[in-house]
Amino acid sequence: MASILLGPAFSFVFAILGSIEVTILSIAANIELNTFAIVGFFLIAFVSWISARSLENVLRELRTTNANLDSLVAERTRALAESLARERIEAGRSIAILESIADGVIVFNIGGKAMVANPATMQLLNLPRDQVINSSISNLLSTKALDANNRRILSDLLANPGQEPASYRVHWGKKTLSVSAAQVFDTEETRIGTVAVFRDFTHEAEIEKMKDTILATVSHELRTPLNAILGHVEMLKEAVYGPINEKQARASERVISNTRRLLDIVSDLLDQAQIQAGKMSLKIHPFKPSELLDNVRGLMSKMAADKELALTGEIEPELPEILIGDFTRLQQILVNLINNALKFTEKGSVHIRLFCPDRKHWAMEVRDTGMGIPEDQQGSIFSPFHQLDNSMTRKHAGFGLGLSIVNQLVTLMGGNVTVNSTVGVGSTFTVLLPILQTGGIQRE
Amino acid sequence: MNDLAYVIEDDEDLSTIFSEALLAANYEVETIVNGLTARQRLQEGTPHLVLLDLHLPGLAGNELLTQIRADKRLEKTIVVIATADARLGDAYRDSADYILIKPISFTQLRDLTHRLHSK
Repeated sequence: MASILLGPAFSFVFAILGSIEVTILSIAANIELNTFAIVGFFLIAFVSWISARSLENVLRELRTTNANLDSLVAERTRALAESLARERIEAGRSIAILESIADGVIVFNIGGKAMVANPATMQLLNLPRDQVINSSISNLLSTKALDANNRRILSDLLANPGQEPASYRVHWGKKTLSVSAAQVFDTEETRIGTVAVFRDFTHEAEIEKMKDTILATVSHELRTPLNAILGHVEMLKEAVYGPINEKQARASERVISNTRRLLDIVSDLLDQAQIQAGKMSLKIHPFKPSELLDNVRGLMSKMAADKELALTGEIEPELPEILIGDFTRLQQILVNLINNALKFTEKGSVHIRLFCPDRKHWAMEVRDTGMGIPEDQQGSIFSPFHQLDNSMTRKHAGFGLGLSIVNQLVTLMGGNVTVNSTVGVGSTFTVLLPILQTGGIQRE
Repeated sequence: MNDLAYVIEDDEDLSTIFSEALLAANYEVETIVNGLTARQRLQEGTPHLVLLDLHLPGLAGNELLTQIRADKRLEKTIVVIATADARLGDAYRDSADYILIKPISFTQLRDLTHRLHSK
């Protein structure tokens, strides 16, 4: 009772005082002292005190733990609430972003059913929301807006997302769409579906088509009158309409050479445009290197003779008699390099060498004894519209496209072109190309 | 009598130049500027050589080429295609005898057809 009201320590003191009082009363009453009972009573009080104190300590710790636990729960609850609020904001943001994207985005689940689609999708595909959401891929593609070929392309892309090429262009009704697809994985790296992105490419496709038309028109409309000028003057010079005097012949010759120059510029510009548009294709066929050298010398010998320069050529014996490549484009590469060499060489020679530097490559080399190219400009001579800045190049004004076309054609063929030049001594251009085997690259 | 050549080309200048080149190569030349007329004339005459532009009003040059190749009467006719589009020209590598890419020089055409005529 005392331990409850006054605490365990006080109950023990109370027991001691009780024992002392009993002892004093026993002595005063001359009664024999029951030492065993007194010691027993004292021990019980002591044990009670110790137990009560331990119990009290345990209870105190329990109260402390409870209090800590309460604050921990409160803290966790607050963190959870904040996290949920953040997630709601993030999810809201993601949805807002998805809703505002101009590209159509559809997410299909692993079973191929459309689970999410943003408003742009409905607009681009010209379909109501209920025909997109929960629709299967095959249902979605059954629309009349797709023809069989475009349907097959889309079906393959959505069935095998993430394969090359990553995107396709399809015609969906009157629109041209660029479509790409990717697999969607969860945090456990398990595939959970496919996301498809549709981009409206109609405008770009129209511009591309217009560009092609302009190129074809420019090609035709510039070449046709130039061809007419060339032909008529040639006829005058060839005396089709009667004999002409020496001065008239020389004037005709000048008209012919300048018309040819204009035609070359038109061809270069069109080639450059074609290459840049990725529309230049190679026609790979077996050919004889000897024929390549003969043709090129035939084409360029007059220009060399006019400048009183020697145009020589050699084929090293280890070069295969038959190679595989685009004969016309290889000839164009050599003609451009020789043309460049002849332009910038005032005396000496231009030498063409076809050889095999190793078992996997063959090379075309054009060496001249011309003015040379300063070292600091050697890196940029292959850039389009580049010209060395000096009186010599101003004299030979052109569009600066010849070497750029060489570089781009060689790159298209999987090779490279390098220059080694010393000012006042001459330049050597080397085109290194892979030796193709029959059935190798086919870029028809 | 000289062999007959059809120059099927709608551009007046080029038609003149091609005709003069063929005349210089000793051909008797008939100029045709329209695809439909060309189809008609190919059913009537037997030219030794046809110089064919691919872009023609009325009927495209490739259809005329198909007509020539399908006509046994014209099996010996030499077809020279004249086009400004090298890629287009490549498509007829098998069916045409020669493909000339515009610009076509007077002397180049004269010398080529002269060789063909002498054969």
